[in-house]
Amino acid sequence: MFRRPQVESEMEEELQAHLRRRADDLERLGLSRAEAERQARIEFGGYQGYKEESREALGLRFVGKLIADVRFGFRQLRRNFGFTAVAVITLALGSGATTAMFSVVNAVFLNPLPYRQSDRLVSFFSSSAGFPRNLPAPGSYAYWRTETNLFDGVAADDSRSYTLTGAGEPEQLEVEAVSPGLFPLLGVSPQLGRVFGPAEDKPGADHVVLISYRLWQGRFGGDRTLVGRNILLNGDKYTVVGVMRGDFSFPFSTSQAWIPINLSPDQLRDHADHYLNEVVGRLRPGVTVQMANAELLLLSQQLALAYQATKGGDIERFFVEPLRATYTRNARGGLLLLMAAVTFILLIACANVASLLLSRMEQRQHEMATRIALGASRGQIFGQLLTESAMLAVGGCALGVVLAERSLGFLKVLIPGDLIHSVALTLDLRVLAFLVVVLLVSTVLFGSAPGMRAWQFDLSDTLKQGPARTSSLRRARLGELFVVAEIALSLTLVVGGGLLLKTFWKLRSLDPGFRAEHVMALSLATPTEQRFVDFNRRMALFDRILAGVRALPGVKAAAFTSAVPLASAAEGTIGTLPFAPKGALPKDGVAHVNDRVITPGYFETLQIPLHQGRFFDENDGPNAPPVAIVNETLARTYWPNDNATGKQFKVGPVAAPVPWMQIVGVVGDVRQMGLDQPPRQEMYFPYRQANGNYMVPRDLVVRTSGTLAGLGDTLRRLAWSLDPNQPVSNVMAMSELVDHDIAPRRLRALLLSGLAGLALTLACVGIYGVMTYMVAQRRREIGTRAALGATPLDILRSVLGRGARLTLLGVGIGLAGTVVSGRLIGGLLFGVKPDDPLTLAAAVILLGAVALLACYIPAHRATKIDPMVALRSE
Amino acid sequence: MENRAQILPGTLDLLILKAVALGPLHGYGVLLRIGQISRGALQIEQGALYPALYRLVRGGLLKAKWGVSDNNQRAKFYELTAAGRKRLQQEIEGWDRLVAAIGTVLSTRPDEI
Repeated sequence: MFRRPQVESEMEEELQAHLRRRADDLERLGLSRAEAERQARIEFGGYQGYKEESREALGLRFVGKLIADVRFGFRQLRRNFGFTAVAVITLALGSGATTAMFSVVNAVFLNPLPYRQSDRLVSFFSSSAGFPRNLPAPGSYAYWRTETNLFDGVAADDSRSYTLTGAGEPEQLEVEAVSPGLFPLLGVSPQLGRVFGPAEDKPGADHVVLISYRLWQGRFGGDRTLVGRNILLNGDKYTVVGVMRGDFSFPFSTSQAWIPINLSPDQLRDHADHYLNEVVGRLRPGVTVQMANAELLLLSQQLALAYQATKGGDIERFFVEPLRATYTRNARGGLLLLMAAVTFILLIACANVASLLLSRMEQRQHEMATRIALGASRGQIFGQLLTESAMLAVGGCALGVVLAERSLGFLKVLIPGDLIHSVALTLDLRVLAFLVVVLLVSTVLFGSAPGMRAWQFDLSDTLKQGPARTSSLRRARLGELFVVAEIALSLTLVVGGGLLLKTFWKLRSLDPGFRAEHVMALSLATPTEQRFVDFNRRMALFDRILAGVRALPGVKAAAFTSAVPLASAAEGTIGTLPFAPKGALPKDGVAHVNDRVITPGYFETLQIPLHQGRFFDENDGPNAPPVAIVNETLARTYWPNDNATGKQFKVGPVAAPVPWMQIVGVVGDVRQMGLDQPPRQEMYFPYRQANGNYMVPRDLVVRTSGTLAGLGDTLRRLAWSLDPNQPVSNVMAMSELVDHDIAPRRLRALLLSGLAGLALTLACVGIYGVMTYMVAQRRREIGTRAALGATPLDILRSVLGRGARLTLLGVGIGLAGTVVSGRLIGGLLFGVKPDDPLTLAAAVILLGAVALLACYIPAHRATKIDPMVALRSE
Repeated sequence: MENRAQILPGTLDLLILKAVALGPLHGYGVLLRIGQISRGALQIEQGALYPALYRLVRGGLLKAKWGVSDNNQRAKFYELTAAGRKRLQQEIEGWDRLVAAIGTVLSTRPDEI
């Protein structure tokens, strides 16, 4: 096609040469030159006409033909506007949903994170009995940094909560204490100023801070002179050395500032206290995740020999996973499920349009016959039909792009929270390329149906007076195939939606282990860094706050805890401590259990039941014997046949020089990590005895007898009256926390159900179309039967019966399909099995009802067929 | 079943194939040769030659090459491909059979019925 001018000129040259030679010969026979040329031209025949035919034969007419096809197709589509509109809208829904969903998948999984070569970044985890994905301990981090060969840098992050004071209202900030090597490791540079370096990662020099773009804009108004000035964090002066860019977020989207982590030599030797939020590393070029994990396994074993006092059994293992996987882990299953769902919808949409096109072919029979009689080849007709289909596809996809673009804002909620600032949800190049693929695939899918029909077109079909039996039967079969396929696909989606809804319902009704109604929770971070504070001062502050809260009208109970249930959204934020029971050491060696520090009254406030022994009281003080309360799971694990109260354990290996703790009570299990997570082994310590490494009370829970309205403000004012520098954050009703925990599931269930509804609607339209077409096809047959005495009821029953048979077949195939899809959706379910009979039955009934409804109108129309009219058309 | 009529409409293509089989020719030469070997009995409209030639080239039965003609002018020469040779053979056999059959029908005498 690109050689067109050359081919054209060569042809011209050849034809001219022919004329010239003929003229030469004629001249030799005696004619004058002028006469010879004239004669040659006459003998040649219609020069322009043959030139055109030559062009055709040379294939130069392709583009011209294409344009003619497009024009013709456009006129055809415009004339049958209703049909075109339905087809385009159907395609728009299918392609729009698919494109929108893919842009989410693209943003979350495919586009690089805003770090240098983000696919080489990994995060480290430790795994031990009961905690397969645990936070790292600083000692492990030190090991990874010094003892491994496969990483181009390892950096640690400790998430802390600091109070920002001195400039307006005190604000609680999420501050990350990080290794200076983090910034070169991630390959990021600041917007303003500089990042801090190793020289500042030492005591005395470490009061420097980098703040986030959002904090800079929001709190400091974008003041460019901020760099070099001091801010007050927890009452200490920190110098601002730089401001990070807007798209930088590490590790959370809510992280507001970064300071040097400044780990002491002691901390770097501590392998027991798992509290680092994250450790990131960059793989050396050519190193794969598998290789890194192999090396880490060796390291784990070496470490176990050096550190663990127990022989054999389960040791603490280290592993890495790609950084992106860490962020997308929870969202993965759901997003892929939704992607599959929209693909189904696209298939259903294509099937609908194919049916539409097929049924339209009927009306175009005369047009086809005429064109063939006038000399059009099969290839030309196929090409023209394909062009029309392509135009429909282009129109549908263009509208689909608009729909997708509009829905991006609403789909933002599907992006995992921590990626929200790092990824942009747009229709970028990859998404548009995907759309083009969708366009091509769907054109082929539904465009080839009428094209194939045209290919097999037999001229005699239309020239006969009545409709030919064989061809209409073939056509009807294809329509039935579509109906069955659409029903099967819809059923799978409806079942999926039902299962997710049921999962959501089960979680909603699950007993979280405490009573959430009428309880308010808020965080009162102590105004100094948690681990290194005057113990007595802290106790005094808690006492004052509790006294004040308990004095408020309507308050029935109040208490502090180090972590409210369900508040730790990220796994492992609660931290663990080693647990070695006396005389009941399991073969697994020392386990790690969740620990919490509480004030007396905690269990009563949340109404967590006491199973054995007693709650803490004011007598459990610093001079009393160290005591603890454990939960049911822990008690049953170590003392299955015995009362756990009175038993002793150590926080650390049995040989460690720490005192034995005494268990004084056993309480019911609480779903601490999440409603869908099984309860972990947990131990509670009274706050008066919690000195040293234990976690510190931070969250206040308050139970009232009335409503919670206004309680938040009252509590804020109370806190500020006791200490103006006391920030109050995370004020939430416990029931809100519970809702928040299952919010992603609710979202997924609603989305999938919505998609299932869309699929069902499309399938309904499709079935209606096919049945109408089938009834129209068999008008003569039905009219004949009516003339022969069939009652309207008979005809109704026969048509509906046909529809019912197709529905049954579709449902059967769909159910078989749910066996496969069940395996894929299994990970997203809770309390429901993929083959849950109630859900399956409900889905089948729903689909059957919809299908029969869709068949009813055409069936009803069939009964109205006047036998005389049908016979007369013969 | 292949619709042969589309590939070989009319007998013009057959004549062209035969003419070229006797030796590579340019368009005008094909015209002359057909006139020559039919001893003037077959006249074809000259212009129709070229669409037929281009179609045969596209169908892979002929191949074209630029060369120099006997009066030192540039000309495009056509010759048979292997496929063209085979097709020519098939067409000739078919034609022979057709002629024989029709001949038999036409020479039937009344007393043979």
